[in-house]
Amino acid sequence: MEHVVVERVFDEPVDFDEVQALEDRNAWCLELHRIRFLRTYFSSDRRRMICVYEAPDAESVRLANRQAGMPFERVWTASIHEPSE
Amino acid sequence: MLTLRFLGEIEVARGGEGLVLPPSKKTRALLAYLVVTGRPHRRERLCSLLWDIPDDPRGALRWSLSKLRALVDEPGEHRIVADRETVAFDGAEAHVDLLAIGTQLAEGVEAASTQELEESARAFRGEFLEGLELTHFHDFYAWCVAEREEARILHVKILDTLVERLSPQPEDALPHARTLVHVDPFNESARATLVRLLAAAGRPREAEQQYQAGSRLFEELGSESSGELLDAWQSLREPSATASRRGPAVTAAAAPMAPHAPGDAGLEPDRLDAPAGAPPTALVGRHAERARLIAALSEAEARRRGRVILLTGEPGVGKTRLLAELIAAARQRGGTVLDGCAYEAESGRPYGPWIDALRRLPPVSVGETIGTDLAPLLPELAKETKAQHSRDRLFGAVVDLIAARAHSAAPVLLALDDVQWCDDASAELLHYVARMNRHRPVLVALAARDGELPDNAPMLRVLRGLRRDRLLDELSLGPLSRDETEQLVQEVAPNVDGDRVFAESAGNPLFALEVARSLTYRHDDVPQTLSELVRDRIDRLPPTAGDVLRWGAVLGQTFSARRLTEMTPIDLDGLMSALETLERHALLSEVGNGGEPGGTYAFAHDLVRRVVYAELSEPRRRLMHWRIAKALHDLEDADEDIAADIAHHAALAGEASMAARACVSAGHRCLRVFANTEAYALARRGMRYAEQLCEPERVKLLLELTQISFAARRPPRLGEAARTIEDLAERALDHGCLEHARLGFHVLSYLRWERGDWSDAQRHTMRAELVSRSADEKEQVVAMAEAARCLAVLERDLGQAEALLLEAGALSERAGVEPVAIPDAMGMLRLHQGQPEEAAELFQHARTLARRDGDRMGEFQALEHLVMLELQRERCADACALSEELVTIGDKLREGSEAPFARALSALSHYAMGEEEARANLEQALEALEHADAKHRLAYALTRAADIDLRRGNAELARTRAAEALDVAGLLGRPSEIALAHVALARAASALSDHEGVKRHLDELGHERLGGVSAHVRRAVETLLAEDGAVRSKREVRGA
Repeated sequence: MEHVVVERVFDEPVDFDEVQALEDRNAWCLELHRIRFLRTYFSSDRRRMICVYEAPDAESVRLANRQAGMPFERVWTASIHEPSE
Repeated sequence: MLTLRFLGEIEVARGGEGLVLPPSKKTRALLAYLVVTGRPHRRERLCSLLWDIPDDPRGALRWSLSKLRALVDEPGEHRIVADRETVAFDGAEAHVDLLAIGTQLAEGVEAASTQELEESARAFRGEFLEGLELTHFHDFYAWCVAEREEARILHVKILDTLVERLSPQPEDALPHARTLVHVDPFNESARATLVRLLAAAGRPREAEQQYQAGSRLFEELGSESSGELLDAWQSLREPSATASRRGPAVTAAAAPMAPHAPGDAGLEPDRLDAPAGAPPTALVGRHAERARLIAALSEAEARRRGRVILLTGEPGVGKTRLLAELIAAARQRGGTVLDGCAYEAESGRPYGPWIDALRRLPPVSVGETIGTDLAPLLPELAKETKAQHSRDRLFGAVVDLIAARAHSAAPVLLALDDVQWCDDASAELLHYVARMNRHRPVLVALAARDGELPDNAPMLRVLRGLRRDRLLDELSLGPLSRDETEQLVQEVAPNVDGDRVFAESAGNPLFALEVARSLTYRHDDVPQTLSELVRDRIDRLPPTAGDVLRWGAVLGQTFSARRLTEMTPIDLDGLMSALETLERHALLSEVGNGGEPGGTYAFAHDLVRRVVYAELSEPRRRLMHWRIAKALHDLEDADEDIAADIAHHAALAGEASMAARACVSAGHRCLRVFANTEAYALARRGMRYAEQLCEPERVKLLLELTQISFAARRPPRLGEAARTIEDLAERALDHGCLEHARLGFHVLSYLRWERGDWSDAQRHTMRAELVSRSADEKEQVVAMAEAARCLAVLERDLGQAEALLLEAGALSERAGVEPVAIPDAMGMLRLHQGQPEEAAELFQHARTLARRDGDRMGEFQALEHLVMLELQRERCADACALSEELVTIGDKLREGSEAPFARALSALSHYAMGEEEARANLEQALEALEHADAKHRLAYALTRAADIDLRRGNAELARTRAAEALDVAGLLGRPSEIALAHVALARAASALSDHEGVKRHLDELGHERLGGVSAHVRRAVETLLAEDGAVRSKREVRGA
């Protein structure tokens, strides 16, 4: 499984719950694609968002986001590097 | 000579001697299929017909064929003709019953001689491939059902012609007329002919029984009667009235009898009215019969050998009384008794007699594990609410219970009365129990009316099976002798003229007792028929007792006092005193309290109930049924268990809506207890009621009932079934009934994809709910279409995808939107099913729609599918042209894998055309796809590239690419891509002479579940397997 990052940019400030509701409604689609939501970074101006998923590939996340009508700028597969102790 | 008989249970004989058949049902089914179709079949076809299993279906087929060879081959004569590709049966010099009839009647039934027809009629021992329909194997099942129906129609035609030709000799025509009524039970004209023939043959009483059985059947079905049966009966009434002076013709009222008829439970002399002296308790006569029953019980106990004994005789002859003797004897020995009775009106209550019998056992005798498995029948025993149930476990639990009792409290007597009314599920369980207990001290005693037994096909089948297994003893009860009759009535009414009673009753005990009773208060003008005798007695009852009797007759053959007070306007005191009076007059008897306060009562004989019921005027009857139906419906604890009762009363009250809804509930309950025949019958009945309703209720109920009907029995003509459902779903939409429209589309899609497996329907419906919730209609349509596309892309739940698309398509016209995803996803489904032309049109349409809407992504997807389709069809030039357009659109879509995939498709198209320079572009595009991390597109491109590499002789490169494709497709779990990668790898290995590699990938393909893959992938796999087979054969030939 890959870590997949989705960058979103909104023209107007958005309500986090609304975006979440959109995603929840399509939870079955994520499940079908074997995508697991991990975390979201939401900017304080409410115009930018970065979501991190665990998925078989980036394309599955693109498909599922399009299906859900969730806007996105870029979707890419990432490796994670934690700071060493 | 080899003889194969398929009309009835399969039989194979050589030189007149029966051969032992292979135990596997599938092997027998395979034999029938090969012989009856009479042509060669591809091995794959046979595998998919009967071995829809992931692990080694070809191995299973080989095993079955080896068993068949042992059965039908002879030295020097191979009848199973098989090569690597195909299998056939060589039927030369073999006699096959079905085919022989076809030859004999080639010129048509009318042209055949009577002797030929009689020969043909004899060949029908039962229905085609009896007990071998294998419902889980849908293709085989559909074939079997269609053949069966054809054979039945031919049988009916033969019998019809025979009856017509032989009617001047009633005795000769009678056997055929009886069989005809059994084979074609809803044919009123056949029943009328039987009634006429019986009368002409001097058997008025049997004629009456047939008339009544037919009337009840048609009334229960709610079908329009042509009046022919009634005409036949009425035309005989005059002569039969004269006949009744000589014998005991049981002439009932001319109106059709009630469908809800009780059994002849409780014809016990000790319950009959005794105007003088103490009531008799001793059994009169029947010494030999009683001794035989007791001996059977002793033998079962002593030799630990299970037996079945069947008591037959006309109504009132004393079958129930004899069973009671046997029950008493078993109890006296400390044995276990399970006794139950089938009731005519309980066909919608599967396992009715079993439920009653099991409930009468002390609860301690049912262990916890068995209790859990019995819970579908006895919900009160359920300890675990989430236990998994199945029919096998249920049947196994009943056998275990009986085995445990046979160990701790032997002998076990299972006594079932009135099995001529036994439901299909009970009959099957009975057969199972009898067979599984043949080495235990278990005696099964059955009682049946011989005149009505032929109407119960499932029970006849079970009896035939028991006879064949040599488990069945039969005992027919005739009339009492003159002295016995006299003794019987002397004990009841000492002063009556015994000679006269015998002359009037001809030794029928029930009739004799009624005559005797009548003679105590009349001296002349004694009514001539049993019905009139009973009516005469009822007329003398106090008014409240009469009312109670009438309500009881409408309620059923048994009823609880509590229910009477709930349903009727009679007060409790009046009721109790009326019940006492009726008991004293031996019209009712208490049959244990059944856990009911106030007790449960039964009519002394079903004839009593029928007379009371027939006396009610039609409007009054309807009103009473309506009141009962409504009261049952309003019961606080009303559940599916009483739904069948509600349906029965509502139907007779003319309350079609309530009856249809109750059929839905009862049908669902039947499905839950694995009683498919009953569920199917309820659904059909419910549909007849639903047809009488107004829209939209009509269409809603029809959809619900159709779902039950298909779940219970897969429709033999799928196309017709699909059209019916589609029409209903459309109509539901017209009425704005979205829920029901959706149900219709689900059923429809399952017909197409899952072939009748509805178990997951609820889960799928919920998913559709999720998609469409909280959005307006246009958004719903788009959401559904997108969801369907998502499923199609993933090759998952394709039935669900089609259902969503059907619904979205129907809604889109109304909402005035046409999302591009509908034709695009539908195109993918058609491609998956192997219909490329249709798919191409749909993709083209999707592209047009996307252009109209300025939807670039939509256009890209439709066009991408078109290019892939052209590559699959090897139209490389078209693929090249289209892929150039695709590259242009892809470049405009800034994020994602579209641009590299467009380039990959373009490069593949050119590479396939033999352009070497395209290879560098392909490598570049593949690398870009990898960076975009689009694994499905990458796997697709790699496998196609490997195919082309192979064709161009570059097997090493092909192997590297296909191996990478397999890794990637495996990560995503896409069945088609995985299979195609294995195909490419096997071909590459073969080109590299790596036999081990070929075998490994072929094994993977053999083990791979091909059920989920696309049609063209399946073909690719089959071609590869066939090629491999041919190569091996050659190698073997060379080796030899």
